Amino acid sequence: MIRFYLALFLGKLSRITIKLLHRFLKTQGSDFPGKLAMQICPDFLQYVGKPETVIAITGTNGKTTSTNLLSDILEDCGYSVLSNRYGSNTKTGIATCLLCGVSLRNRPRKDAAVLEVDERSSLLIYPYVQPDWLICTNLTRDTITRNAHPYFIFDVINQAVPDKTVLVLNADDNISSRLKPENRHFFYAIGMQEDDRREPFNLVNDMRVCPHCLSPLQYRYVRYNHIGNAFCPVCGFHSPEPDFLIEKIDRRHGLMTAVFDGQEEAYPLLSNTIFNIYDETAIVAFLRRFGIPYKKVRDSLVSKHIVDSRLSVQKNGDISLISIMAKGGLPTSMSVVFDTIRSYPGSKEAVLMLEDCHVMAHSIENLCYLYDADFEFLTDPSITRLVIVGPHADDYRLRLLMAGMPEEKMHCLPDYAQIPAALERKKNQTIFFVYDLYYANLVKQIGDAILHQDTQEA
Amino acid sequence: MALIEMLYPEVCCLFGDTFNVNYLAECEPDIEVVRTGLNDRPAFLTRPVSMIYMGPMPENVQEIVIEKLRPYRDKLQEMIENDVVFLAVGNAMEIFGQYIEYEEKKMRLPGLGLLPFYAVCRMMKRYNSLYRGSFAPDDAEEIDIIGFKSQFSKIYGSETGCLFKTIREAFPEDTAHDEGYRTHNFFGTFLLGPVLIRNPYFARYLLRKMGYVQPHLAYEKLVTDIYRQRLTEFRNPEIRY
Repeated sequence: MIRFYLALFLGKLSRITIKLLHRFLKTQGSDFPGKLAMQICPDFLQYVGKPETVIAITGTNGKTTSTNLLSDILEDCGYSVLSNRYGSNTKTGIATCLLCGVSLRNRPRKDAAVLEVDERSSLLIYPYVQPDWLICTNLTRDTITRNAHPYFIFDVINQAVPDKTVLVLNADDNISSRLKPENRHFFYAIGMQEDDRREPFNLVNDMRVCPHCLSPLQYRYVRYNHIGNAFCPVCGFHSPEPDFLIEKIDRRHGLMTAVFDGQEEAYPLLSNTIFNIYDETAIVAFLRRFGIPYKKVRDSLVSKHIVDSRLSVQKNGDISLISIMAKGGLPTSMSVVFDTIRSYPGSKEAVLMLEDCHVMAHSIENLCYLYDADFEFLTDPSITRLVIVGPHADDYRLRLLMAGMPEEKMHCLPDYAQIPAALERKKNQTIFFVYDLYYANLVKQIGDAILHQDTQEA
Repeated sequence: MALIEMLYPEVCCLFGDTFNVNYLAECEPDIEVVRTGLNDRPAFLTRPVSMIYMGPMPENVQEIVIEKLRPYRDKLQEMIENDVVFLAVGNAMEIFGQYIEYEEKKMRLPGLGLLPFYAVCRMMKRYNSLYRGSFAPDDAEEIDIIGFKSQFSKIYGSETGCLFKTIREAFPEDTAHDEGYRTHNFFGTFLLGPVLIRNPYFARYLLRKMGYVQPHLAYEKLVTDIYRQRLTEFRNPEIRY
């Protein structure tokens, strides 16, 4: 234990130092305190004090949004909350977070911990942190070099989660909803909506067959990939019945109506995108199961919004530019963006700048994900021109040709300087600019260059 | 007209590799592609196939696939010996070996026993690498091979029938191990890309093996330009594998 207290003391000291440096360097949170503590005491996570309630949030998409939302609402409801929202979600980030939440005598200072947990790190964290609750948003395809495929991550989480943990799971995800079948569960779902599709429409669907009899699954509704309500017509397997159900999404009035314990409850809708609606549903479902009264949750949500920092809209006269970040290498993310573009009303052009320049600086990007992403969506006739930017634009061009895109609609550019000249920029047309995370600092510059050239008459 | 049978595409469909078959079908439009599901009777039992294709799958599916194919083991052996083209990509290749050892689970899964190698699967050690090698077709000059590797398992005991001769891979100790396995017209490889789109001349070679005398390559100029550009990059000694 001496080693633990030394680690705690030095970890806290290093954190003070870093905080002072941040004021000058204006940098984000650091994992260093946790890293230092774990180097001194490898069992640090086991010994560090935890608040009375520990809630872990994991999944392929939506962890950060869900963690931030839950932390904010719990604070509104009078809880003091410890969260790693400014740090990393791996074991050193969790260690940093937890050491900030205890005194030098290792006494927890907060009521609850809301911890975003990288799903791949589950085996390094849950045996020691032992969450009371685990919210899993979804498990879908991620970067193949790190996360391989959803069933690998399923196995990792399944092995790691303690038996005592109550799981809050997405009933519309037939992979993650089968985690730890012996644990206590609470399922949430978004019920069938008018605009739902009835058949899977993506190239990728990691739940095409019944896990019991291997017969093809059918879907009552599909949101994207395998996310939806499925059943087996042969053996009767089906998606779990939700304990908390969003019956109606009213985007026009910004409301969602839930049914819980036989009662209807209306909540503000914080976002119109299906990813974010699922995130909000997960958190509201958890809060209600946790025992927070409906009115408290609803009133807290009124002041909240999910800032979709990945999307921005700019206008100049009759031209609209919508810039969307799509995480490079993630076919699910790319497909959702492509679907958004094709569904947007009116004619449009699109610019794709998706290559990972960070990898390309010293290596070659693994472009297998091009063949999991739904480039077929971009062949919609409403998309009049497609500009592909990057040193490997030809790979995208080949993929698009195989998707059925006419050659004459595509323009390949080696770099972004020529984007404005490559666009038609017709009046009353929308331009979509889809970019990888690493180009975020160029978005404004490129957006301004696109918007402020002369326009053409349609 | 050639027939390609894709085995279990509903589960053997990771990493975009179904486009290997899509690409071949675009090369020769008279190719018929049959998709055989897990509960379907394989087409190869009743029809002459030109190629059997199986793509990478989640590791927990390997046991299911082996048991589905086990009743047809003798037929598969006959087809291999009769030079039917097989293309098994990623961990699909392991199905045909002696066994798959899952190191963390301390479990050994018997394979179909059609090929001499065995596989060891280490789920906590993902192996990622660029790959450059060469392929020596029986009737033409050597082909440069490039691709990507992202896998949990490796095969051992394949020295007598390696498919590609490794020139460069991520870890020095692996340059002694050549890539994949070949016997007759069975081609097994861990290379992703998809491998046939990344290596159009290898795709053309397979089409010849399927019976096409002068096979076409779909989008020939583009796909070969991309291949040559990538090969230059893969040859760059400064590039980290």
